[in-house]
Amino acid sequence: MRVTSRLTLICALVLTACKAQPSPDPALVAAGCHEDAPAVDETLLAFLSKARAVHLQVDLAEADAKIDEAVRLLDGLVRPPAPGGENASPEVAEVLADSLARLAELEGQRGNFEAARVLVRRGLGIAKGRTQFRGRLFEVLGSVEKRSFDALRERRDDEGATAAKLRSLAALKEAVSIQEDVIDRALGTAPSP
Amino acid sequence: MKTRPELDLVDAPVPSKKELDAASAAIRALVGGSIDRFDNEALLALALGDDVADEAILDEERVDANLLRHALDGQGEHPLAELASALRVATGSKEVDELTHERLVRRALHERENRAAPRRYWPIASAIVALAAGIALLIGNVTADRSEREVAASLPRLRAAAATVALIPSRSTESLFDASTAFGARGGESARVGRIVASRASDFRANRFARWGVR
Repeated sequence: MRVTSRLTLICALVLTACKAQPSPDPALVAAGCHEDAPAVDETLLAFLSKARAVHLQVDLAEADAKIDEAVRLLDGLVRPPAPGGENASPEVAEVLADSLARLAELEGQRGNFEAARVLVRRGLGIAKGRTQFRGRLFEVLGSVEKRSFDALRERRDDEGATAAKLRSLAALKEAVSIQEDVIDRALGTAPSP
Repeated sequence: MKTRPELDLVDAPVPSKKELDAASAAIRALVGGSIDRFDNEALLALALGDDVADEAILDEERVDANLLRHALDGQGEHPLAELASALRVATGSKEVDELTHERLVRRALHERENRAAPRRYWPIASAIVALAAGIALLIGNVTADRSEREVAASLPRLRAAAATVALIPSRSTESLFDASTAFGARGGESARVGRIVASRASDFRANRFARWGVR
């Protein structure tokens, strides 16, 4: 290729960036992308990579039954600020919600039921759509309440145990309902969340 | 074949290290800060006159490049001149004011005339030379008042066009997971985040290429 041709090619490449017309990918549109959504960028990728590393660390801590260490690691991940703050991207919100669910489950294991409920509520405030992430939060809540039920019954607190049981059943019912919605959407029989 | 005006570009001084650094910085700024290390070395080697062959450059090509440079100086016309001026104004960069881009162009086009050098660097080096020359011409300190006035009117359009580059947006990750299988109350987080990272890393690369104008 001659130099002139190369120059022309290079200029054309530079121009492409300026002249490219919006051409929404039908798959992205189908996935619910908004026109004003921010692009996938370095900050998002950095947060996601950090989250993956933390979860792998938590895996190792759990494998060694170091629950306190696992909680400490996850607490560092979910502690604000997250990229985007109140307007975090869907990926950040969903990973945060998933991480909060895991942290709540660990707190439930440690018998810190109220702390677990607080974490689940925070996650539900982030994962507002009826997605698997929200469904998981309800599933974790159901699990936490089940543990609470077991603990209260063991202490012969029948009234408290009954209340915890009802909360567990309600949370699990909501988890099932959300999961059914997810399946319906996947099958094309329900609107997007 | 000398049907077009001959232009004097031969006796240019060798660019200084400072000038080369400025040229590299300008290129990095335009291509997003990532020049392959080998390419960068090839560019520097070429500019410094190291083992890079140049027998393939034709007189016609030199003349054409010179015509473009002179068109940017407001002398004559060239199909790429208006575009180059528009981009230079759009960048608004003064960073390379001190860069004697003409020297870089001259150096790139003529330095190697009497050199019998190995060809292994040629394919990459020649492309880098063209890139350096093109960018130097685009953003260099060209005195083209007329062109600037002309392109100033089209600046908003250029910027608007740049803002409409189609990039992959952030979005829900739900489509990455099997809807028929609930996440479950315990486990699987690392695998899920790993899948999300893999997906978005691919999107991020695609966006970088899109910003560079590579489709």
